[in-house]
Amino acid sequence: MAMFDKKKAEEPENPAPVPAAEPAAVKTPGTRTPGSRAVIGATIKVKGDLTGDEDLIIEGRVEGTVKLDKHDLTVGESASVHANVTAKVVRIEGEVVGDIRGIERIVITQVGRVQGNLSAPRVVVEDGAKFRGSIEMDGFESKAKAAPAA
Amino acid sequence: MTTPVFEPSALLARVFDDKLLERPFSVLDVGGAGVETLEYFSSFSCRITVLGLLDDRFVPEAPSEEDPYRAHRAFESRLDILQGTYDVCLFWDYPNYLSPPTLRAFAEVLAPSLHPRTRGHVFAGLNNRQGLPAIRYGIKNTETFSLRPLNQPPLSYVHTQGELADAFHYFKVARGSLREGRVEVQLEHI
Repeated sequence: MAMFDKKKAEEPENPAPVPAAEPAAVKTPGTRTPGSRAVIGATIKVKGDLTGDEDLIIEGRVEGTVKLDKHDLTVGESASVHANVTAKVVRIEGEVVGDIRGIERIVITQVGRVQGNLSAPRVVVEDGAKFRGSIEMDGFESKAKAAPAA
Repeated sequence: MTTPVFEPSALLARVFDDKLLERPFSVLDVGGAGVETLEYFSSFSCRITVLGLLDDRFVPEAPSEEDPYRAHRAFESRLDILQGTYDVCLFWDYPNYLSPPTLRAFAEVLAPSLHPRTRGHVFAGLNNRQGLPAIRYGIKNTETFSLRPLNQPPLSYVHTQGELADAFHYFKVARGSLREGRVEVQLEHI
């Protein structure tokens, strides 16, 4: 009895409930919270085609293609991207060699370096940015100004 | 970076007249991607190609007797991104970084990218003795330039309007306008 009691004490029949794990700890691979961003770190090198359903920050080296039609891409200062790129908003702080299509906008910051052709309704090249290539303008600005107010 | 100052232009409105702006057009900017310039062109249906020659201070070695085409090869390599021909060439002050033989090489390599109605805009010097300061130019609108002084030595070779017309022999000088040592020159294809 005493032993039974001892065992019972060691292995309670109804153990206290363990607190539920935080959602992040049991997150299904491939699911991200809204607004989350994936990061390719500065020491990572990727060759191939990148696609995804979340925003992406590249700090490393990427060769191939990058396609994020519904999400934003940031090419960080340490990044070197040799690829044709499509994203909703493309922001370049590092180096890109390849054609860039911005569904909404392309921004080349003052430390950005781009060689390739740009296509987007709005292209912003900050003073000091290095750019070599062509930009197709569609008169978006004048159309926006001319459009009657809703 | 730096805040621009603005100066009036007497000739940009002639280069970019209504006849040109009413339809899709193409512009070759040999300099860098200027903030004001891109903003200006975003109002139109156009293609702008930026060579970035001023960003990098791209100055090939002059042709020599041993290698008369080395400047040509350097420019061919750098101009390999050009597509078709261009309605307008914005040279800014780039020719004034080049020696006369190097400038001729540039003009020859550029020639296939022009058509019989191509227009150009360039800054020349009043004379060869007067230096020109290093400035980054842009277009605010057809009446106004933007200027950003650069912390660099004055331009190496100042060419007069006539010398530029000799180098770009397929252009005629349509008009010249004097502004603080610079001569603003409009070029029209012959």
